[in-house]
Amino acid sequence: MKTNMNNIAHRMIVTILLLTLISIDILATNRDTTSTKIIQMIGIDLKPGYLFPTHEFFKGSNNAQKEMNSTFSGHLKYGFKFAPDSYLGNVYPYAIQGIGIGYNTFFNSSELGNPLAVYFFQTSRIANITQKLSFDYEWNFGASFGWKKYDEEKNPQNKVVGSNTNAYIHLGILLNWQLSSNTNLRGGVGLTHFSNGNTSYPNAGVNTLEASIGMARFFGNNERSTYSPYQSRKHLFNSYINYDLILYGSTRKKGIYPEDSDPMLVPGSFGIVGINFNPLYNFSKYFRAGVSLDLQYDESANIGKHMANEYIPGNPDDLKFYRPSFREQFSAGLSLRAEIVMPIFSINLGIGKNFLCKGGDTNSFYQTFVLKTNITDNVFLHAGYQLYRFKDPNNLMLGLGYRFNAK
Amino acid sequence: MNRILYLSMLISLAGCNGDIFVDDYMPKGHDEITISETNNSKEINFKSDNWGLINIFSETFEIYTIDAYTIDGKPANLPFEEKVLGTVHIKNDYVDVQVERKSGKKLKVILNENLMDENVKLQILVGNNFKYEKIEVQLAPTQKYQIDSIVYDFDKFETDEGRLKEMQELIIDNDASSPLTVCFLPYRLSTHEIFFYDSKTVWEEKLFTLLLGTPLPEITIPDVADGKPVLRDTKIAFGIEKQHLAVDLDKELCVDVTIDAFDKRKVIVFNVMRSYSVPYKIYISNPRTGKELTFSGKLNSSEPIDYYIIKRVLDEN
Repeated sequence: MKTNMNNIAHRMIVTILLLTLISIDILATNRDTTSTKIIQMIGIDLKPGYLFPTHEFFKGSNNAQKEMNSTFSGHLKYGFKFAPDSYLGNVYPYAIQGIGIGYNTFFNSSELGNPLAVYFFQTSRIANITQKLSFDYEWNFGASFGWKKYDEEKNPQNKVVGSNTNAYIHLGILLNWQLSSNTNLRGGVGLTHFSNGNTSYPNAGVNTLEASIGMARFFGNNERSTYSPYQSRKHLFNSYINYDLILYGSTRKKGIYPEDSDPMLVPGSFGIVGINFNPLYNFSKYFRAGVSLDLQYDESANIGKHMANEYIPGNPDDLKFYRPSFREQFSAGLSLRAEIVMPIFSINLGIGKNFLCKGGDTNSFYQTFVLKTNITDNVFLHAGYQLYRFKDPNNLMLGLGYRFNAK
Repeated sequence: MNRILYLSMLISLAGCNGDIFVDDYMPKGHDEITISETNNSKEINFKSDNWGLINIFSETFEIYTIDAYTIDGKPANLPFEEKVLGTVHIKNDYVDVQVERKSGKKLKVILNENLMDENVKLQILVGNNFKYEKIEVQLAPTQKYQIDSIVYDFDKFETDEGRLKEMQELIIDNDASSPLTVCFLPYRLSTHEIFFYDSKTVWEEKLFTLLLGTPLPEITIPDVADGKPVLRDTKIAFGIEKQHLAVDLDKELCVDVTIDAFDKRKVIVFNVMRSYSVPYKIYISNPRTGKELTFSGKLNSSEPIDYYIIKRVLDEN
């Protein structure tokens, strides 16, 4: 059962990756009817870093009995940006997006593995510092494979990672120095998070702070065109409201905390399905914000209060629960959403509170981190993560969205 | 949009962790139910079928039998396993209740009879590996039985006359020089005694009051005429083992007894009795249920028909 659930989660991640690739391809080739030119890029980054000792395992409770506080990763990236004379190239002249792979080590391969991350990335400029030096950001989102997960017999100390595959999320800020028209040197710092979105336990998460140094090489005319048929459009943006309707689902694991007993992991994975309706006011081509009505059904919500066993069983496999009422599994909340809009991808951040809920598991503030990947003007992939109280991992939000009044 | 919907449904289905959940067959317990003869059965609905009938008991009465049967009517034993269908019959002399589980989510309680003069509290225990629920049922009293007929076996009628029954005795010591006359009332305490006898059991008046109600119904008993039994208007309540009827004799009848001067006698007053015994069978039935019962035994009657007084000489020693 557990393996099946992990397989389902993995298949969902792979499906989203593939669909995202398709969407990138569609957008890169069809978005601009007057130009199909893109400027391709290959980059390499090296990232030595600090591993946050957020768990006893990292502090020395491991087989090696040594503190784990360092990490290193090497990344190879392929990306592109839209040609300056294209619509997207004109609106987002510095945006580069693509895919990357990164090899990670935490210097304890026997217990943690050396996971390989496959991800999408997007980078763009935040501000110019000089004509050749700019202040940029970059995000990565993908999956990392090859983790050595917790195993009661073979890997008992690793109570951090509960699955072979984990989500990979990275956000960095960079100084970008243009060495030549086609070569850039980039260096900066970034935060990386690995976890599985509670699809299996344990899921303490692996968090790192890295320095990075890397090179990017462009192929094609990387000079900004002096003429653009869309130049005047910068001044023609009219604010408008679009309406995003998102349907998502996922699975999650659940731990319970019975009184007078140790916490227990409930066997199996629970289903989650949700709907977001999110009107967003487009302040500019780069930013929109609004309020979202968030409806979610969580099969595991509040089950801790509905344990069927009269006594806490010694074996978690014997745990049984009465299914909570729909009201306890369902929640409706309102969240404030801010969305950074870039080509293909949008990053949507939200903070909200459930107003229609019953039980401690849903009566909470929540935070959402979402990557939207456009497939067409109206349809997008939705990959998100929800936290409760800024710290408690809740669930993944993997689904599809439809944008009404997209422009 | 349909594709989005289907995808979400698939995701949702893929995630369902149904194995971890057990259905709560009775999430909020069950209120006490009352069953009366006007609506003599009630169904208890369950949310699911993952429960079994464990036991049925009553605090109101102690002695009763429980007979359990499978849904096919074959004898079985309590407790029933989870989801097992069947019927349980609980009864004693006064209470008759049937509890049926003929489908997974329903339990039917049928009140056949409650002859007690008060509500009978029945507790039905159901449960599974995770919890037990006690369902309390109040059974209101139901209609009593009525006497349909009484049949005397006059072929076995036996009678006799002349037996003396001592009613009074008095020692009179007349020290006077003249005779002393004293008035005796021989019928003052006389009664017609009726006695029911059943060689097979100890007579329990409570049984009959619960079966037949109070006051107990009357039956006609035989009178004797010319040595033969005849049925007239002599009635007694059926259910009381020993009864005394008034007799149609003059209770004020005064019989003078004279004791001579300087004589001392013991005066004993007797009633001369006429007795009979006759086997009987009483058929009673419940008008509501049609259930019939028969009681049999022997009716014994003894009534005064005359008196007899003797003056016995006392032994000086």
